[in-house]
Amino acid sequence: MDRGLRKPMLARMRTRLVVFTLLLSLSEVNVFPPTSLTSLRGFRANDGLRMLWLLSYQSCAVVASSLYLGSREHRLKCSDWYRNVLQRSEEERYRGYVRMIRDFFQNVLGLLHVHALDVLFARRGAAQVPLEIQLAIYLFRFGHYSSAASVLLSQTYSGCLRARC
Amino acid sequence: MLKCTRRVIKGLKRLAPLHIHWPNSQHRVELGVWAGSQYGFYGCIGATDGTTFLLAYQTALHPWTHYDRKGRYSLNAVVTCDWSGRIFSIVQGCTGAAPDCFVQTLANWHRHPGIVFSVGQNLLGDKGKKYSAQEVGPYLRPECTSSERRNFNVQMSRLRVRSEHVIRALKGRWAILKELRLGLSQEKDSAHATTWILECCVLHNICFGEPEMETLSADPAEPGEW
Repeated sequence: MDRGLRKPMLARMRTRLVVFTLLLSLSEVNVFPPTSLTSLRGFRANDGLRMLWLLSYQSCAVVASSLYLGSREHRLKCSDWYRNVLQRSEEERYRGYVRMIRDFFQNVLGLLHVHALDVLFARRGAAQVPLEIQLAIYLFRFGHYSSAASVLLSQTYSGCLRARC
Repeated sequence: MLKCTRRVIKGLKRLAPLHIHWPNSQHRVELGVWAGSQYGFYGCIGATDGTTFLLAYQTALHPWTHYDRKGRYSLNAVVTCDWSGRIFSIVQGCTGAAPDCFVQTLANWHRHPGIVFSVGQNLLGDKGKKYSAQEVGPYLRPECTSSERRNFNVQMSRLRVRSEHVIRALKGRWAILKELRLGLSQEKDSAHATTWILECCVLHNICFGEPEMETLSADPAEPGEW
């Protein structure tokens, strides 16, 4: 479903929910005769209204809670690269990525945690990429040269490109 | 991406005084004894060598000052290391046109030799350096006539080659130093470039002791006994 359809659909569902709420409240005070809303025998009007209200409420809640209505392409990010590629690679390939063995990577990470934790996090406590991923991206970039060390190629490789929303 | 790099650079900059520092007197004595016992150069605590860090682009700010003798735009630095490959001094901030003997004069070990050297201690350098009591180099061509002096040059080059190996390991591991992709258009960009070099030296010292570094020396005798 296209991006522009979410707002009108949500507005339509809200309107429908309000209408069903009004109808249900009116039927509760016996404004309507018992057979005016449904012609089926053995089916009470209040039950039908409650079911319709519940369905509209649920659909409104689902649409309001989801940012995108249709299925979207999953874009791999730097956390995916760190977890699925770097962490699962064998030792030689790992050293090719970050130019050091795992123990030294943890060593550098510990040193940064001890001595430079304040500069590595946002001042106002905003959400940020974890420190180990930042360090891995930095080491990946500094371990390559020429165009392989360019910002664009490093971004593409490690998945730091900003997703198009 | 840029913010990640910037943050980690700031963090690693704080680690520089912890990992790049001049060896203490006891360590200097051990280095001098090892060089004397293995190669006959008693009191030599390390080797120093100059290197250029190429720039990918021509600088917008005074480009002629970065034009080095090999026809490339670069920054010059003098790296001093001990016999096991650990960098304990790096002098940078000079452009590629500056010769090694000038960069050497900016080093603390050259300006304050009485503080950083004990009596009888010195560094090994190449022929492009300014010789002094603390900087020993090979005999140059007009003086290099006798076999003793030629032998001295050969034995000294066997020991001094470790500084070349350190620079090879530094640029090999942190390959961005082979070509700095920075457009030096402002004064702060030069500081940025020197920070990059410094951080690579910090990481070199932190990663010291990896298997790659153990095979650094071509000689069977290793100075890792202390």
